[in-house]
Amino acid sequence: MRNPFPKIGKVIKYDLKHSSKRLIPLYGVLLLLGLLAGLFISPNQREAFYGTSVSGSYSMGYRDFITFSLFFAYAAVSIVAFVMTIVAIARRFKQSMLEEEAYMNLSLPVTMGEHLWGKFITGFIWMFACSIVTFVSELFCLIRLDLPRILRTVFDELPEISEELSRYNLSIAKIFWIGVMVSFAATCFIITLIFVVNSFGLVIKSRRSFWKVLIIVGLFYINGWIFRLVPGFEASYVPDPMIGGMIFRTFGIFSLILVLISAVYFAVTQYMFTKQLNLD
Amino acid sequence: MDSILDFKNITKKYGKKTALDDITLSIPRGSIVGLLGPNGSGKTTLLKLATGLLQPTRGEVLACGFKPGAESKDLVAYQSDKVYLNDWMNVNDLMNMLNDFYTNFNKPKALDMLKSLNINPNDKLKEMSKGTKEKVQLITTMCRDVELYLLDEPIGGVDPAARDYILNTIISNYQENATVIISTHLIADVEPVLNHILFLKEGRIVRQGDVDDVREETGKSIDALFREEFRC
Repeated sequence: MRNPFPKIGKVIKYDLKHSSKRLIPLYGVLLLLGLLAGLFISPNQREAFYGTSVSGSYSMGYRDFITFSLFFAYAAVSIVAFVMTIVAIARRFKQSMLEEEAYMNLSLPVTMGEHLWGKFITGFIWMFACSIVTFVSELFCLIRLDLPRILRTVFDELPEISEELSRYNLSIAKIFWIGVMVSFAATCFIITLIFVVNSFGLVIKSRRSFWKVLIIVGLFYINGWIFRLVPGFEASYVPDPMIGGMIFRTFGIFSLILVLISAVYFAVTQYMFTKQLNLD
Repeated sequence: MDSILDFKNITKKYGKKTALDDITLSIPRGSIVGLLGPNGSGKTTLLKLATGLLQPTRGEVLACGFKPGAESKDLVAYQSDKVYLNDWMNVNDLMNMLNDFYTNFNKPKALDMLKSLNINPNDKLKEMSKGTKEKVQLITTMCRDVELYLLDEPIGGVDPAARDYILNTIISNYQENATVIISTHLIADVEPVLNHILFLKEGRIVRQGDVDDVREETGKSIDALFREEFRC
């Protein structure tokens, strides 16, 4: 069976290369700030975290100010990293498919499907990388807080949590998979929304920013109308053992609708670039 | 003689403006074609339709026997009228990328040409002058061993010495059996190298044919004929 996407690996390679120039240093700063913030936690602060105290009283000093500042900076950079990841995905799409670089990229012997799928996969890779880096940096923050102790506490609580969840026919594994499902669907939605809004730039020749905002508002209005179709439920009327199934079903339907909407956005983008391509 | 580029009833409109109006033409293989016309006549539109960077409003394009797409793009080398290079790369990165995607990119030849022009492959594209970028762009086009070269205003906006250099580079580097289509309004400079011409005026073909036949028929040079045809 012939590979329909023989050059998609190369598209992904060069898209990752372009965005990595901005994102890798930013992720590095995030990891470094997480590490610094974690290392600056003092023994007093550690005991305050666990609710015990080394000496009788605890008073704020310059070190607390530094620790607080580092954690504040870390929180700010975490948000910036997430926002910049989305900006990088959007920027790369627009630059390589609609602006000057498009002349070179769209002259390459690559199908439009390979271009679009390549950018979609690249976007997914960056969103996943951002999540992993954020998680690892959070672990760095706990570096002076006796991480093994925290993990032991969590694992000690697990049986009690599992028993409580099983009352509702839920489990930690099910909650994890709900999280994966929703994250996957939300990532598909964000990336394809970026694509479809930008693809209208092919047919809109003036006041593009204004029209893009209008398109986003319009799409969110339509999406909101579609989501009203998702059947909700009133937990107080549902027997406990059925709540888990209903939660799973509700989030499942929500995720499925998001993925279907994303597929429509992708199809519209592909149509625009195949039938309406006008690099003038 | 079979054709390398076919346009069948091609019309291209930008809103209410018609850039190309029901064009039908066949470009023979192995010729150097001058696509001549004043500004706004549709030359760039015609070339972009051949490369697939524009979609026609009506009609069909066949380049090297394929509709413009991934297959035809591997057989066609296109140089746009403006410099559009990936500014975030250096010259070496660009050469590697082109070598990665195109099966017919001659990287050793490209590096030789860069060396002869004293262009350092480690130089960043965004830090280069416009003239140097144009030379890099020309190298990336002419170092491909393809059947059809589409050059949009390759000598527009450069000094006479650079024009000679560009034309010499084109003539000495294209494949012998390949076709070159040069779009320009600087007729006198390209006339010596052309063997086929196409005159475009307001989106229509007003004259086409073999250069020698046209000169014999009209008793004029192509440059003189152009001035007469497109007199303001």
